[in-house]
Amino acid sequence: MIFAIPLSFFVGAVFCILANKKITAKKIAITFALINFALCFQGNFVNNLLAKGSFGLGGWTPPYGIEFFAEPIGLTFVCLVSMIGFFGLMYAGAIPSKSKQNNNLFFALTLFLLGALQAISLSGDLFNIYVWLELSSICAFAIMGYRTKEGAFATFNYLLAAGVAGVIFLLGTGLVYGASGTLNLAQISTLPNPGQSISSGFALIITSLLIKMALTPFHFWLPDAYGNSPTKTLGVIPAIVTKAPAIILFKIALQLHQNQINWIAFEFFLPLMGAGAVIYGSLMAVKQAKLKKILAYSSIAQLGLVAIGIGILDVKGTLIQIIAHSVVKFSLFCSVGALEHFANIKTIDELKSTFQKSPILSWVFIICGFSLAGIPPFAGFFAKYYLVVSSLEKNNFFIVAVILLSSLLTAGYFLKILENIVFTKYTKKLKSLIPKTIYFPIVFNCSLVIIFGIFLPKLISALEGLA
Amino acid sequence: MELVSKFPYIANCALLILGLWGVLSQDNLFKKIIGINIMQSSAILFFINLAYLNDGRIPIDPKGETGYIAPLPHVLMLTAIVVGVAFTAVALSLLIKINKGYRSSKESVILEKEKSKL
Repeated sequence: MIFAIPLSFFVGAVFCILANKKITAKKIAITFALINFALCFQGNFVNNLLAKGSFGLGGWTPPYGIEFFAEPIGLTFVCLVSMIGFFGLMYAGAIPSKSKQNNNLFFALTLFLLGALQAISLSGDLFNIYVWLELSSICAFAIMGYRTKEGAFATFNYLLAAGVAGVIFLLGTGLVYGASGTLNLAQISTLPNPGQSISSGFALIITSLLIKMALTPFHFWLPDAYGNSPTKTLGVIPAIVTKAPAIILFKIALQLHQNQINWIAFEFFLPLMGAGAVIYGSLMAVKQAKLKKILAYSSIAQLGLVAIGIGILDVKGTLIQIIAHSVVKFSLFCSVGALEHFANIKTIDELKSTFQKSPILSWVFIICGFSLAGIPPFAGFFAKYYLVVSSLEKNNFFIVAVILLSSLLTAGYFLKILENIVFTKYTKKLKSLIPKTIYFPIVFNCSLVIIFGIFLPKLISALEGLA
Repeated sequence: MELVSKFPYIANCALLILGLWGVLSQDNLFKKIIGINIMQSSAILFFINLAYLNDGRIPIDPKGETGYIAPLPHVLMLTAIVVGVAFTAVALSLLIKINKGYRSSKESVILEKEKSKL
């Protein structure tokens, strides 16, 4: 049953390569994304999320065979990928394409990417996590760098960072395997007295995950790669690709922090690096003129908050932060992509009189900006609220200060955008250039920001204590 | 004897550092890809070293005797090699794109051109 979820994306990807004029790749991709969506959200949703269990692939029982392990955090991310994937594909389908061949391959690679991301968060085996991580990275390189030479060069830097990170992950896996004789995370967590080589192996693995999730000293590849990626990819890539390593890191941390990992060190370093990311990302975002670059630096800052949540092992705050940030960044990147592709608006200064041109996208900017800054009715507020509460419980006032500062800095760079959108005079008469079909995924996700604000805390408290 | 048995791991370390040096220091992007490939080979050799046993037999043994080389790391490394090949293929295709666009595969030249455009 659980294998069917990522498998539906992989099957869809194979069909996408074979697509022709009559049955286009876009239709196939959206159909299979819908199947995946139905598989994820069927029945009693909360009960599905609470399902726990291990599934051996190919009839082999877990310690010997490859294991898929279902638990609330991984399943939440699977549902998130399914949702963002579905709307991201709709968005990509609404952008007209130049060549048919590229189009088929684009949809096939996107489906492979989504399937790999779901499989990452389900697998309970270190080497499998490595393979899925590399598969998702390789697909991401291919769809990010295929359009322009600037995109190719920026993606090449991403590729170098991710390649080194992959080797580090493999070496860490080797150390753990050599010392414990197993790759299965559940089995590793039951080892009575793990030695030095297991904890150093996990230190390597965590470092590699930090490079892949672009936490501050390792963020160098992210701004250019996001800033130059083609419009079609903006739905899927910025919203979830860097979240998958974060989820894996969180899963490993929750499972092994008592014994196998030297977590005292990470408890100190992760919030410190997260604080660095928050401050550096926000300050750099204020400096940028290009809209995509602003959003990319803002992503670095928001991932800093995720790292803080992982550092203090706060389930609620981290999960809400990941979900809220994915949904918000999906809407923002898609709106920016639509403005750039159809209206040729690339910088802040060109945003003037957007409110008259496209009031819907302007509202999206306003709501998502408020959510990023953490203003109460929206989803971003609850992430910050839970993070602050659990760091107050641990008497860690440094983190409280960083989170409050992040709200202030976010308001700093977002008010610049909002000022240009809302408070500028209507100068030229411009007819609506943006097609109607593009609005649906953006508006839906933007309304999720509000709906999540109301329902997410309830859902998470239903999941609480079971993670 | 102690040092001799550790020699393969020292060689692994040397390969890893050589590869990392290549990625960090080389100006030519093609040489950076070669650096990553060297790093991947060092990781693969590390796994093979873990599995190695002096005077070990092949793991297909009808008599069920012990003292065979661990088969699992070899199998894992087959997958890792495939991942490495796919990675290299994507890297090379991106490099072709870069070389066509910028007429160079040297990082310094490309950065110079990017700067002059701004």
